[in-house]
Amino acid sequence: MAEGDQESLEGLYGQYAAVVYNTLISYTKNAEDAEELLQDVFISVFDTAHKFRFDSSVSTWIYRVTVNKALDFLRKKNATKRKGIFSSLYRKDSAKLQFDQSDFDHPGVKMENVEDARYLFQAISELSDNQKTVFILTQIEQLPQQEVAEIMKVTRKAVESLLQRAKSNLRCILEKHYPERVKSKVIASK
Amino acid sequence: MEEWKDKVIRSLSGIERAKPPTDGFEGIRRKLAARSRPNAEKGGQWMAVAAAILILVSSNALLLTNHSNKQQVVDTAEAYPEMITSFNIYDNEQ
Repeated sequence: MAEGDQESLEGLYGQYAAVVYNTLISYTKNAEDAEELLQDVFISVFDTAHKFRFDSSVSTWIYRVTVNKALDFLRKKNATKRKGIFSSLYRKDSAKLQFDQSDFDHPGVKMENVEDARYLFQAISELSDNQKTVFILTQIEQLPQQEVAEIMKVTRKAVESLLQRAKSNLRCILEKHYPERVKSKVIASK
Repeated sequence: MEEWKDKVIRSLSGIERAKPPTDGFEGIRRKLAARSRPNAEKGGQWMAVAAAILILVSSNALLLTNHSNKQQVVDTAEAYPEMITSFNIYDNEQ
């Protein structure tokens, strides 16, 4: 593939498209964006294959490209959203866009967990880049912490710590944005 | 109270992978083909930009030339006022 062979790229696509797409959709929470980024990831892999030195596994390398593409995409999207908020100051019909209220249902979530997963995905988008990555890779992609550490180029201890902080922050975010759930649970327990 | 939050955090357990579109590689093939195609469209764009610059420069040059010519005419008139005043037909009639 380093010599520009598209058939090798197709082979690699067949092998890794599902993991790349699943990771991307967890970040973007949108199928069209994930599809577009899926193509971009494999084009990047095709373009940079000659630089790959086998100092990590192919899977780690592809995950790394995927995570970088997804985070870049979110940064650009958030920058556009911030501009939108700024310009909305001059419009009467401005809406507060600080918390992403889009209803995303991950297609792989169990039926009984759909509603909870929807809240969780909204909360995940509030985490920092590192915490988000650790949470997605360990909880959704179900990768071992050691592999996540290699993808992120940090120690396994750092991954463990990031995961703890991510879970703790998710609890705070959920409580902050869904106080009605806290109230309803209290009423139900009485 | 904490229970519902833990339940939400655990809601992804047993999650299955989302499936990519079946014709996903076609998009990649199209993008790669578009990239390697001889870029006639890009060449056309450069020609349009060059033409716009040329029109801008030549119109400005024309404007400057006209402006300096006009100034020269005015300067000549101011330099020889007696030549012009000597043709005052009303004075000659007196």
